[in-house]
Amino acid sequence: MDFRVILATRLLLKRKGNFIASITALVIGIMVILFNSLIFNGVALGILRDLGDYRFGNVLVTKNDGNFKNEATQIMRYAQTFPYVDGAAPRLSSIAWMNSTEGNTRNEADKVPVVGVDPLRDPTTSRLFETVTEGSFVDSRGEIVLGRNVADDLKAKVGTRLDLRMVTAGGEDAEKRLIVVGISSSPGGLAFDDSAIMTIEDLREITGRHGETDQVLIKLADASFQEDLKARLAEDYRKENLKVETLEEAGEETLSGIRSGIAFINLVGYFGLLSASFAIVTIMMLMVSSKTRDIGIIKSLGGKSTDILVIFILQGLIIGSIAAASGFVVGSAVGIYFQSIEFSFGPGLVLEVVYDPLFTLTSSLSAIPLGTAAAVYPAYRASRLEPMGAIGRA
Amino acid sequence: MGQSGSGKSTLLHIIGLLDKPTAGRIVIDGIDATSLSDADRSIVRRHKIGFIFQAYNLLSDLTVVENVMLPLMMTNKGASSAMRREAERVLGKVGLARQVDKQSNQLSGGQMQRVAVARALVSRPALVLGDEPTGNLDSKSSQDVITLMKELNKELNQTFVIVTHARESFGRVDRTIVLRDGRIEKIVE
Repeated sequence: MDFRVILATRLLLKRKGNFIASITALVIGIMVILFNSLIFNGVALGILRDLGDYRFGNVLVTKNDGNFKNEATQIMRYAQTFPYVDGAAPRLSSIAWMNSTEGNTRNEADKVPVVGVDPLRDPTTSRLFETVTEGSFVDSRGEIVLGRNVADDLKAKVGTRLDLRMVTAGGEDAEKRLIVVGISSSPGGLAFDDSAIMTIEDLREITGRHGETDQVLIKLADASFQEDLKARLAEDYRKENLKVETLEEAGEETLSGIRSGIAFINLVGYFGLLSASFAIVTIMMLMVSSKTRDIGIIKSLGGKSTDILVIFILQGLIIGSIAAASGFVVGSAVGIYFQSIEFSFGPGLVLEVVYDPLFTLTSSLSAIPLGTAAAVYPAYRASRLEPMGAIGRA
Repeated sequence: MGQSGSGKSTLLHIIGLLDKPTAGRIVIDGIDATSLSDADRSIVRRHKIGFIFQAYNLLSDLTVVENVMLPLMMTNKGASSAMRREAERVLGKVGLARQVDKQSNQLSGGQMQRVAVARALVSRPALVLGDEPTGNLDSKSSQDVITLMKELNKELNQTFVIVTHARESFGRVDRTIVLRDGRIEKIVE
């Protein structure tokens, strides 16, 4: 074995404290990046999952101009001809003014978003029905499910009768009395906690928008077919002026802020790793100071300045490589663990943690060039020492 | 030889290319070493010069045999196993056959200086420089090291330049140069 490799290893291993401190600094840097990525990507994917489950399905079809008339039924039938489609359901949205009377007290909620759903089709397409924490999901006309926050505003419970006022397509007010059959609450409030859910037929009738639909949600058995279905819909319904979006596209507006946050947090993580490499520079400078005499001895035996340079850079390479391997092992263990559990902060959003071995590997491997680069200056300083000066100074 | 401050060690370090002269030239084996680059000076040291320091200057992180193997590894003389055999052979000659795998800092002063002698001789340099090699040893260990160096000098036919302020302890030598205040006072053949 090359004497420089032997000396690099021995000089490093004999200073276990410095050695472990250097590796730990880098591993902590790697873990900051990996943990940030796991958690914040987990938040983003959790939000995307819930948006898909409650609001958009895997593919969301709307029209660029106005609402669907009867062609929504045709599109749903068309979608369900594909074996990878689990279900398709129509939705219609509007705004309502609501009030409830409890004794002599009248409780009001203004401009409450209302979504109309098909009670038979919607459960095949979304998990909105699972958000009902009290009572049941809308099953027939005359029923309404209130989001938790709306129910609190109206002091409504299951069984409360509500008076709704909505504006029709013709611009007139229309009123209807509905009975609260359920209260809906979702982790992170990503479903309809600030809205109300009723049957689409009731909504069409109240607003005078008979046969209209503003969204068609399509649920896929295999999400990887999103693009395929999107392309087919765009091709086969060219004349209908459809807007077909995958879940990622539909959720982009919600996720863009989170993604910027993730990018920023990742940047913080990389600064952390850079700080760790500065810690290594300091530790290695201390190692050079403590090894001044040995450097002088090696030079007096015929060691060249480049040999000393190589010895200390090798040490940085060794530190970086061990930190990379440790970071990969620890990062993988943490990633696999968080992926295996349903992780959430309190009762909020359940994170969709996905362990990404490639990202874990590339983040960990970044420790190698950093460790090596951190060793360059201390190595240069060591290589400039004069042999007798070094021996005499120690 | 000479009194403290006479310039013995400085001269030795200059001959050994560890220090640069402020004036004059250093010629080793026909090579003018004065104007050599640092890298070339290192190569001359590696191939032609062996050092024995007063303070032994062993690498404490290496074992005895690794310390002795180091000059061989630097000159890349043969396979690792062959280098180890050669180092063990020389350590046997200095009486440390049983200490080869000990850490060098576990040895006594006399033993450490024997390791330093073995390290200086193992690559068979043309010139062996000793800077007060017995300065840190008791009289018994000093005598052992001196005897050893003389035996090896005779056996290996290498040039030894030894700096000392205690001429008597070395007995018969081929040439004695006495320094005083940085100048040669006399040469005794």
